[in-house]
Amino acid sequence: MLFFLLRRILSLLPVLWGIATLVFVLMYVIPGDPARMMAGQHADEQTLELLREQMGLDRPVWQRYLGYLASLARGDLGYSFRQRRPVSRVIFERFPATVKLALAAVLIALVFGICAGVLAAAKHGRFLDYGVMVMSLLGISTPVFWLGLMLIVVFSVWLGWLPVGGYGEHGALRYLVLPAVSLSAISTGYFARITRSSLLEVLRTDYILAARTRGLPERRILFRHALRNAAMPLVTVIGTNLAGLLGGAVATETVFAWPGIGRAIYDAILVRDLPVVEGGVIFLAFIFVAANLVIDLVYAWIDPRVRLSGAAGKGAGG
Amino acid sequence: MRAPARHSSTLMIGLALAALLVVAAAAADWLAPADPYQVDIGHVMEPPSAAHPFGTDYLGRDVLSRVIYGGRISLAIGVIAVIISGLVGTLVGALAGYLGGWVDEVLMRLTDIVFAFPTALFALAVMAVFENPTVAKIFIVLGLVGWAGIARLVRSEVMSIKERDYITAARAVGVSPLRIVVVHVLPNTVGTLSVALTLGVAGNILTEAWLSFLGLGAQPPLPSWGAMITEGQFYLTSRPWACVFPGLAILLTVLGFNMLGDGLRDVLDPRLKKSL
Repeated sequence: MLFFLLRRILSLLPVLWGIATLVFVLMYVIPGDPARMMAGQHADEQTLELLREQMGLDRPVWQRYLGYLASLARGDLGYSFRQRRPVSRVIFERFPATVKLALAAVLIALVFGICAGVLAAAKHGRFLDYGVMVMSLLGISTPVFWLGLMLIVVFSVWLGWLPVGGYGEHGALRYLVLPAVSLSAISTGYFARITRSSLLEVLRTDYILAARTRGLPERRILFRHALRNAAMPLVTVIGTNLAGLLGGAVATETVFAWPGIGRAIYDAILVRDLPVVEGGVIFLAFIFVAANLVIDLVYAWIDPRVRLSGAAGKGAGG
Repeated sequence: MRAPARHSSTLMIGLALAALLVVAAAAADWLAPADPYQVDIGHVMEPPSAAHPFGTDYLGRDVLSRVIYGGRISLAIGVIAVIISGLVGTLVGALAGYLGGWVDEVLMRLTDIVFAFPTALFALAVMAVFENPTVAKIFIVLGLVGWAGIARLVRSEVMSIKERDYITAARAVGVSPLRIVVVHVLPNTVGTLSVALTLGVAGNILTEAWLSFLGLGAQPPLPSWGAMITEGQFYLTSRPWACVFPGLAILLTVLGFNMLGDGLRDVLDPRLKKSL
């Protein structure tokens, strides 16, 4: 298990390096002078020269690149000239709100997605099954931000049940409901589909047939025997869905004025505060990669075969 | 196990929705009741009426006409980005799968890295750098981040096909590797590929709408659906229609391509169903 863990962590390093390098290339090709961005339009040449030297802009590209990687490894995500403080401070401040929203959305998606999937599989080919299939298709086809706006119109404006947006005084739960529900829609749809199809697959296998012949009650077969085996594909999908969830968080937090990293990225886009945009994206990408590592480990823990062959959740093709 | 009739109904609905979008985009000049750029300050944010079936936006422009013309942008970005990722993915996957050895090793490690990227976030990081995001930049960026899944698919198809007897026979009589791949191997991957590409169109349209909503997509006054929702957002509480209709257009379009992809998969290869 330890060997497996080490190998998985090592295989993630190229991914992190790739993301970091691409962002560096992006920042390097930006037209414009970071020193001037920091000092303002009317700074004199002497000040600019000094700034460039202090920011290391006069060094050759490869030196800047290595310096960038080194500071990234220390958790330094750059400096926001607009907010006049390190990007890591901004991220750190906003992180709890994003975690809260993302966890709530995953929880909603898991509960509703799995329930809907089980129901659909149990009533295979009947009206309820079609209903779940249509709803999950709608879920994965709806733009997250638009769903958020529509929920605001119905539940905040028309019905007046829930607040339009914001975080609430002490992070009251009422403020969390609409953002979490709209963010969870796509994942709920995918979870329902994968639960249904893998359950149907399992229900066709011989040992389920054997359980039926022994006269076990259908409910017991479904929950005791089938669902456990159908859970495997679901675990993988949770990982791949996180990317969509984190991207969706940028839109959802924007719509609901939710003070998380996504909203910070959006605000930074508006004022072209690029260090915050790129730092925020790097951070979310790292979270995504780390979460997938955890999911791979869970996968290996549930299924010893993965551990032994080393081909975890997303092995190469085939 | 499932009734064949249902497979084709998913396919048919998807086909109809996709066809509707294609026709609307192609015939926008005839279908749109008004000029999508025609500002009319005397009639801003009007509710739906006979003259303006979807109402007017904050500059008095006809929302229906803008939604129809917006289809051109979504369709262009969705399809062209998928063509780019399809070409890159097929090339990488075919080379890796057919040549094997170290070429396979290098290309697949690269593919693993790109596959592990959160695609939409990466597109955001790239688009944010440009002073002036254009439609062309969006489809190039989306195309260049979306090929990893396709490369994996093509590779595994090529690997399973190249071991078959007719390929061995072709090799034995001296057909060149390039010809074997292009003429004998790749045509066999068309089924799998068409499913992935169709679902790719849906994903790209959704990502483009999201980018435009964040202000990183097609710029005003272009009638991009995502940007129309941003513009309408300020009037959401009192006049929601400026947001409702562009959003419905996105939903129906993405739904159409998702159903088309699902339907194709069910018809072409029922085994693939579980791999989403």
